[in-house]
Amino acid sequence: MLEGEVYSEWETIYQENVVSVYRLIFARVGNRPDAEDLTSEVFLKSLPKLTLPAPASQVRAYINTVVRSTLADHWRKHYGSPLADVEVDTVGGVTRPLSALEGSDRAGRILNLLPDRSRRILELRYLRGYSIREAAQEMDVTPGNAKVLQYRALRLAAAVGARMLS
Amino acid sequence: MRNPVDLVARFVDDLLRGRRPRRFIAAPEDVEALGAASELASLRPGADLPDADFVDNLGRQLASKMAPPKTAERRVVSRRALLQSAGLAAAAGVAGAVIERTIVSQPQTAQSTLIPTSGTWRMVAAVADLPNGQALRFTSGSIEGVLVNDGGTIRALSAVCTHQGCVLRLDPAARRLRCPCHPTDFALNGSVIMSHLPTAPPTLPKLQVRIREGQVEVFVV
Repeated sequence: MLEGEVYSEWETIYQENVVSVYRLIFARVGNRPDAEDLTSEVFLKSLPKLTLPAPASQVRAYINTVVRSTLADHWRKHYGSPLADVEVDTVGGVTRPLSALEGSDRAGRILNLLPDRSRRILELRYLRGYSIREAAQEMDVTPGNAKVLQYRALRLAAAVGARMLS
Repeated sequence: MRNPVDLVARFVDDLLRGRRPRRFIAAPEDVEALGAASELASLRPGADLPDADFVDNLGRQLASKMAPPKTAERRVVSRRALLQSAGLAAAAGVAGAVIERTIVSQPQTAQSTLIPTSGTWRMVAAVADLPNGQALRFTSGSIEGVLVNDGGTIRALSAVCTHQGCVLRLDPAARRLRCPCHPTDFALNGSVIMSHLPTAPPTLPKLQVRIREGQVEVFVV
């Protein structure tokens, strides 16, 4: 669907946006069960409220608003406060389907901007699938230290991610 | 209460095992660390792509929510009444429009998967030949099918009409499979989106599909 075009069937809206919505949500929750639940919530909430035909840009902007409020509710409800309202990407701004690499590209860029030891612990955990104990052994530290390293690395990654968007 | 270092470590463990993390109330600065932990889960190739079955199931759930069965039934009845009272020729144009709307708004039928008893995995296309958003017809042995790249998820469908077995024609511009025998169109997820038949034919069966070394393979005979 190109800019300036109009959506007249909900099926087309769903088919053209479900993957983008899922990926936006996955990037903020990091796991399949939550990503599936929240993606369902977004479409079940937003599609019945649309009056069609409607410009594709408006439909996407609306879906994007629903994605953001759904994610904010999720984080507030389960972890006590919403994530900073950073936009990783928006359905509204996407006029072509996302490629399979874009989500991991951003995560990869964040990783590359971290100091060595922070990057190392996260690479071992996320890319090699090491447990804390295995990562500790590899880095020659105690498991307790590896947990602290991981915690600090994630705090730094959050700051780096926020800076990349500002 | 456990300290934030342990709670964040448990959160990451849950993510890496692909399960829903256990919930806890975190300090605002720790919520940001949890956000980063979630985002990094996309590092694993393909982790952030939805499962094809999930996409299909949600589509069906939406179909029943967007068009309750009662409405569809009422439209079918009104079409019959119209044909009986006004005569076929006079009603043909109006009826066509009514039928098309009726079928479009019917809930999707459950989609089966075609799994041949003595099937084998056969290469039918290169992934590179199937860019995002594109569809490709293929014939392999006794199977007529279509491959669809839906935002990075590749799926395969039978390309034989579920009404009377005519081979469907792919219309790439309209993103539809059209039946040459009786006016019926299927979406690229297999659901019927338009039909002039009194009863919509079943959804097209899926074919099992996998990617091996850059090649798309389907399970066929």
